Amino acid sequence: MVILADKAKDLRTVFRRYSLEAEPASPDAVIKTGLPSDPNFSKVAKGVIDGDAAAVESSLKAAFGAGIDPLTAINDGLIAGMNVVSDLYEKGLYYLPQVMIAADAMAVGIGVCEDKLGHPAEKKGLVVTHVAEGDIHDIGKEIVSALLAANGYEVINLGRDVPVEDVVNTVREKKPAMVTGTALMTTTMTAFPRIAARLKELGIVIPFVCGGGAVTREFVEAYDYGIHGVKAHHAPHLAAAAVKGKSWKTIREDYEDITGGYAYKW
Amino acid sequence: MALSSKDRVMLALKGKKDEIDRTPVTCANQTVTVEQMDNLGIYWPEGHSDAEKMAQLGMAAYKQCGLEVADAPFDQAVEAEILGCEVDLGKKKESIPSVPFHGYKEPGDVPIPEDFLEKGRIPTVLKAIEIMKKDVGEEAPVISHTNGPFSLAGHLGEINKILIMILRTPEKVKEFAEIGIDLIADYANAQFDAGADVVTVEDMLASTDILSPQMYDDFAAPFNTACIKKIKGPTILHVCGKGDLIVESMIGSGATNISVDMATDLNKAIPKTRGRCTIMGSVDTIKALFQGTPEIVREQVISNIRQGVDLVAPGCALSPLTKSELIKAMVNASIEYFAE
Repeated sequence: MVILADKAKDLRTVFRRYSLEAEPASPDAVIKTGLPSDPNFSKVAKGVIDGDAAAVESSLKAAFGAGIDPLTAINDGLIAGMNVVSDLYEKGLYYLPQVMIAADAMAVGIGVCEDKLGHPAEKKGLVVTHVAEGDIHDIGKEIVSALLAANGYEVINLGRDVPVEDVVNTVREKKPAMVTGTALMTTTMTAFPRIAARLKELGIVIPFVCGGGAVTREFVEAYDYGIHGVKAHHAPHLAAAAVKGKSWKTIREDYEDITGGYAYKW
Repeated sequence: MALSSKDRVMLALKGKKDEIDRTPVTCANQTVTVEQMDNLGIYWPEGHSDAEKMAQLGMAAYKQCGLEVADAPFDQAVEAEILGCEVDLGKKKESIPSVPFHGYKEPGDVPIPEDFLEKGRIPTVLKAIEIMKKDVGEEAPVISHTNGPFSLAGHLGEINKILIMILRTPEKVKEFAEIGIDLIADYANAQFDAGADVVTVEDMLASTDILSPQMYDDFAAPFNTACIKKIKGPTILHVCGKGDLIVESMIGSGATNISVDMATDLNKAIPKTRGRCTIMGSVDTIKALFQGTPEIVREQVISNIRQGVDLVAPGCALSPLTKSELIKAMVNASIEYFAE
């Protein structure tokens, strides 16, 4: 069995609280600092950062030619690149489009590595994502899903406007480590407490990370299992905590530490 | 003689602070709530497609809560619908129509009907504006809504795909956005002909939660500017999210007024608008108007007035679950503040 290295700890040092105005940074400086020093890996990582799937593919093949094994290439090249992308996004230097094409390039890279391995890389854990019933706004969920996948999690993406029962049944059948829900509107986020209540009735205990436009901490913490997901790039950290067996209560309480020092603004 | 809400809002929009008795409390976006529907016995989704019902709901916040506006339509799918996008009007009374459409591949695939002002729900919206104008037009401003060209492009090409296109095939995004310029301007002008006093150009998908400021300048701002130039009456440009880095471009659109979200720093935005346009905002639609109390709402309104907004308004569309009590608190806060 092959296991992806757990990079969550490394990530934690990357996500520190950051004030754009106090400390202006350029993307180039962030990229320079974040890139691996080994050129084999830095080219792969740069391909991810640029969202350049062709460059990712060719640099991975060059790395294999230099004797690097696919799993090391995933961890030290692809994931290293995605960490820089998350950092750029956190600092307000990258926006959603750049993250989306980086995640695409990352997915192509994982495919290339898995072909070389001859089998899928072992995933760190399973997460179910969805957009609330009645809500079709799925940009946030797409980013959450892409960042989870890019960090080595298996994602069951249920899509948008997902009925409460579909979420509950998927959780019951697939037994994920964590489930996420996103909603843009006040009128649709009411599905989350219904999901939590249904899961509770069934005796299922699971961290349920809820976020999106109108969703507030106050709303989410009013029901059991609810954890307010503040930023999309927090999702892999929360998933790492869930996979380690931390309870929803602990994740809720330790949110800042788990996600790297994010300070709640009430 | 006391000013009517209409006069107060229109003067404030034009920056004539000296001629008004107090800061008006209005809204650039939709104002209908379930509580108002219950009082009228008129509900969505019918209120999205029946002109009389749309008009009655559009006047409800004014008649029931004193909010200084009558508005329509309540969703952002009207234009996309006439351009062939699948639209879901919703099933519940709090449902806002959405565009689950998966996107045209090419801008050239978008069918633009010649007589589009007669298509879909456009006649409904225009009729509702007429009814509102007849009913409350002397007292309250009729503010109608259109999409911004980028937001319409987000419906036409599907926003996730549009975001990828921004980096891969940016010209295509511009072509999608270009479609909206004349269409939206013609629609807005028809709204003026029907009796609208002001038109809000809602560019919700151009938020910096989604686009970088540079992308806003490339894919949203020029199209808003071109569109607003063709609109014959006063306009409000509304963009959701943290507007700090795009306020300058919003002002540059030529809109009479800009409406900013609660995430935008008014202390920085307001000085930039001076002498160029007016600004409205930005009571928190979630933490104050949805989850808050009359006291929280009141504090925010007074804070906005002291910061110097020309008009107080919710930072975004009202949640249909907003309580009337809190809408009234928003209006009363300004009345009481200026009475003191």
